Amino acid sequence: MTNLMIGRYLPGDSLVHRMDPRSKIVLVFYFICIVFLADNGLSYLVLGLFTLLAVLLTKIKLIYFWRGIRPAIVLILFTVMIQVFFTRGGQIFWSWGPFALSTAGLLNAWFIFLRLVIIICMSTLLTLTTSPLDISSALSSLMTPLKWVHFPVDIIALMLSIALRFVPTLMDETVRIMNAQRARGVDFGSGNLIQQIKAVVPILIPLFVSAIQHAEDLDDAMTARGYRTDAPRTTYRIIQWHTRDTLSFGVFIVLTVIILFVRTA
Amino acid sequence: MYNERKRGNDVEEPIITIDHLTVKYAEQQHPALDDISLTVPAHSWTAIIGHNGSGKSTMIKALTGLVTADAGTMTVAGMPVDEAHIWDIRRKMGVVFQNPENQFVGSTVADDVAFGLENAQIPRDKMIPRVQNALAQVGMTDFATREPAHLSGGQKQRVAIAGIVALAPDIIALDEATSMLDPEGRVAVLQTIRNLKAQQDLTILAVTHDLEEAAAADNVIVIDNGHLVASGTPPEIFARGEKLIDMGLAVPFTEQLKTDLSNAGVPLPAHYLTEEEMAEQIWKLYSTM
Repeated sequence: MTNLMIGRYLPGDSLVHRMDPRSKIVLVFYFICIVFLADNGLSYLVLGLFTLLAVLLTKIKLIYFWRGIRPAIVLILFTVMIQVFFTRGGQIFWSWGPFALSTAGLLNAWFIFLRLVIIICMSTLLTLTTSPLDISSALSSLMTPLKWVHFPVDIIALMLSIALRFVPTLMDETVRIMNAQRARGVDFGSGNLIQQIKAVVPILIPLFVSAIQHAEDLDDAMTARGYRTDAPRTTYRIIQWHTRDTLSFGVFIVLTVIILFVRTA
Repeated sequence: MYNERKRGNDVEEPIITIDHLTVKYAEQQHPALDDISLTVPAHSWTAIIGHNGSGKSTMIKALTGLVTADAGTMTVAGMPVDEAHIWDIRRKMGVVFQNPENQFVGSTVADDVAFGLENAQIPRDKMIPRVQNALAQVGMTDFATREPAHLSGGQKQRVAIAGIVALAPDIIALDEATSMLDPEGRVAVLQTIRNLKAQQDLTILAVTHDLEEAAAADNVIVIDNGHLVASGTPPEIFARGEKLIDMGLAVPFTEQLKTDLSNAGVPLPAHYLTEEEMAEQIWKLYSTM
């Protein structure tokens, strides 16, 4: 069941693990933007080497990154095929109606392929080295400016952390319900599509009932412990900014300059 | 604070008073609590017993303002239970609920203990020692960074107790807090509460199914069908054994079932079993036959 979880976190003690989750999130998004600046072999080489360096810094085995890419492989191949057959330019080897095989098409497809792999590796790197808990704290911290427009940042942050906290609980319950239904003769994972969808209903209904029960009890418990949405609260969990975070921003600025220098346009 | 309470008065002031309390849930025909009046002496351990649906948990919910009273008045720690005082009362009276899973709010043990402190707007630098101290008192210091998925039921209940203790309350209410735990967890949780009561002179109000636990209390209150049936010291209450059954306090269903099964020669553990545990026991026996 846990294999289904996207963005699996691998605890560790590397430099990347110890970075502030906020800087990791911001830098990954920034990196994705930079990737779109690349337009020639050299700039992709620089980005590729940079990604490889970052991956090596995490001290996580490469197989885990491959597992991040694997689910996206169909999407990657599809995009690559479209690029190969729909781009015309340079020398055309073969053409049929709207389809064509050309040097420009092959080159574009190669670049798109590199771009997707680089982006997926970087985002996998974020989720592999940052616990969901840190990601949720970081997101709420990054949302803080929205308080100015009266966006309920604290409530959303608490909702996010409670949702994360109940994932394992509800997973356990799903397994238990599935076992109970199996004991009653329900067959999961066989039959045609309609039958498989029908088999999911007896899982979902008890699961919803149980989730609502959890929510009602939790409401009582939180109120009894003095939680009120209309009053300010202090915070126990904080995330700390270190010199290494400032330095990594510096590294990304240098990277941007290099890319701007080597790109063609 | 302790001296202040005792000064010039040998008789303990009641810390909780309930006066003609009636609570009726909208969807039900009969009131969950019907004209209940009682007092709980400060620094005592008071057990409330009664079968399922007798209204004993509703009483704790009424005292902490989680359900509203239809009639009657209550005071907790010298404050009337009303809109103006309810948040202060919730700081003075912590509740440990039945299901360990459904009261764990924080993402880790330390975060959960801090939850009440955050609500009380305690500054972070004062929170840190209070969280550590509270965890030490329930023996969960080594688990501070653990996530709830990796804790047993008994450990989660001890974290819930730490969350209450961190706020330095006068009263801890246990709403069948041990009924979903295995025997080991049950013993650990009750021992934790006993130690805390002794160290901090707390008042304990425990809703329970466990007759052994009730027997160890200072006072026992028997509630049946929303009515107060009896109150007194454990020897007084248990001396009325037959009468209590006449008055409607049926032995819990699982106890009854267990007695009947034992008489029929089916081996079952001696301690009190919840319905789930009973189902599990029967299921185990059935599969070995």
